[in-house]
Amino acid sequence: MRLPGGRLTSRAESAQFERVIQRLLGLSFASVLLLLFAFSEQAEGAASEALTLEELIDRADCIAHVRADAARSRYDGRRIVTEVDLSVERPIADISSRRKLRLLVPGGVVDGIGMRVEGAPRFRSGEEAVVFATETERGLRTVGMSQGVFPVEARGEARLVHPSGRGLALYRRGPNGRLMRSAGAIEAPMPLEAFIARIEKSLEPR
Amino acid sequence: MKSLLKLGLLGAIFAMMPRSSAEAYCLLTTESSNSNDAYGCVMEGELVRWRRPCIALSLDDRGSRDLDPPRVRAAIERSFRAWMEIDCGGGLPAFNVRLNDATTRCQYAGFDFNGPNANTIAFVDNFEEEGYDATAFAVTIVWYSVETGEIFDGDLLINEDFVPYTICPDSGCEGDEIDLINVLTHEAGHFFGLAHSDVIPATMYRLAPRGEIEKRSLHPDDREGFCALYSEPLNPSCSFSPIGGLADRCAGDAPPPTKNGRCDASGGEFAGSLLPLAFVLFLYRLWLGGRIKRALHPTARA
Repeated sequence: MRLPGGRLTSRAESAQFERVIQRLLGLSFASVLLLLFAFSEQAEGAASEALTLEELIDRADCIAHVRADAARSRYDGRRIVTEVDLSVERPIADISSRRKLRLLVPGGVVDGIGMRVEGAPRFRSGEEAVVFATETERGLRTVGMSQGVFPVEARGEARLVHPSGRGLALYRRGPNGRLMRSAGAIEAPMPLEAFIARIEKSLEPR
Repeated sequence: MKSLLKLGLLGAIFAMMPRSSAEAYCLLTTESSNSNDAYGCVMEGELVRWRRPCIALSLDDRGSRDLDPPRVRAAIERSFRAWMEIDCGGGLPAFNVRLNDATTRCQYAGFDFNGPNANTIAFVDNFEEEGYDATAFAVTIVWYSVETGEIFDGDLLINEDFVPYTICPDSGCEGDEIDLINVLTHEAGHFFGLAHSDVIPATMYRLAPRGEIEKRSLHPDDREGFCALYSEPLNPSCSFSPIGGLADRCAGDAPPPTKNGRCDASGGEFAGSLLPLAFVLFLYRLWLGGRIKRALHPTARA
C-alpha cells in the first residue's frame, strides 16, 4: 500500500499505523473538548484578606480625616444605598482640593423599610473618622467596608483614633499561603497625630 | 412597696435591653448609626427579627461553580437546621424554615416593595461590582420594618471570588478549602437577626479562616443571643409565601435561558451551548476515521 510519504509498508505496519492515527484522532478530539471547557470557565479571583495599614493606603484613592455631615438613603431599584456627606477636616492623601466627599454605603432606610448589611460602615452625624476610600463606577466607597473607617474620638483637645473593622470578618494570608485570623490595621486606640504620621510615612517614596 | 416597684421596673428595662453587658453576642437593631456600648453592640432601636414562623428560602438556579446542587442544598439545610433546633424553653421559637424545591433566578439581594419576593441564596461572581466588599466570604442582607423591627426578607450572597468551596468532612478540611456549611451557619445567624459576637469560638464571631469548620456547631453564646431575640412566641399563622408572593426571578436579573419557549432550569447555559459543537466534532471524527480506514483498506466496504 502506498502512503502519502511514498513509502511502501507491509500489512502489519499499516495496521499499526492505523491504530496510531486512530489514537491521535481520539486524543485530538478530547484535547479540543478540554480546551473548549478550560477557556470557557470564568477566571477565578484571588482570595481577599484583612488589610494592613499599608494595604489600605495602597488600595485607597483618597485618605482624609473627616466629619460626617448628613446622610440620605435611596432605593436604587434593587436595594437601598446611603450617600454620606463628609466634610474634610484634614486631607491626608490624594483628595486634590476637595473639601467635601460623598461616600456610598450599602444599606439604609427608605419609606420605613430598612436594609442592613452587617459589616458595612455606619456614620452618625457629627462623628469624626479617618476614612480610606476608593473611586468605583457607582461612587466613592470605603476600602474593605468598615475596615476603611477609623473612628476618631475627641478627648478634650486631643483626638484618639480607634481600630477599624467593627463587625467585619478579617482574614490574612499567612506565610504558608493559608488565610488566617488577623487583627486590623491597628489593634489599639492611638493619637490621631501619630496615626496620620504613620500614614504619611508609608506614603513617602522609598 | 415602692422599692419593689422600682426593682420590677428596673428588671423590666433590663429584660428589654438588646443584650446585657455581661454577654458577648450582639443583636441587629433598627438603629443604623454608631451608638455602640462598650462591646461594640448597637443598643438603641427595635430588635430586628422575624415574626413569622414559616420561611421559605430560594436557591438561585445558577448554583455554585464548585459544588453540585444537591450538595449546596444539603449545606443550606444543615446550616439553618443548627439554628432551628435551638430550644429556648417552652417549645420556642418553633421556626419552620424550608428550602423551596424550585430554584429562582436571582443573584441580587433585593426587596420589592410592591411585588413578589424571594429569600434568595445565590453565589455571586461579581461581588465587588455589586457593591459588596471582596474581603467577605458572604454577606447577608435583611430587610425590615423600621417601626417594629420585623424582618420582611433576607438574602444570602456568597462571594464566588473565594474558591474553592467544599463540604469538608467532620474531621476537618484539607488544604485551602472553604467549608460552605461553616460560612452558611454564620450567615444564617445574620438571617435570623444576630450581629457579630466577640466570643472567639462562637459561630457569630467575626473571623473565619479558611479550612475552619468550628462555626458549624453553635456555641452557648450563639444560643443565648438567639433566645434573647426569640423569647416571645412568633405569629401563630404559617405561610411560606414571601411578602407580595413568591418571585421566580428578581428585578433586574436576566431571565433564565429558554429552549423552545420553555424555561430550562436544569443544566448550565455553558454546557447547553457546547453540546451541538461536541456533536459536530464527534461526527467529524467518525467521518475522518472512516476516510483513513478506506485509504488504508481501499477494497473494504462498510
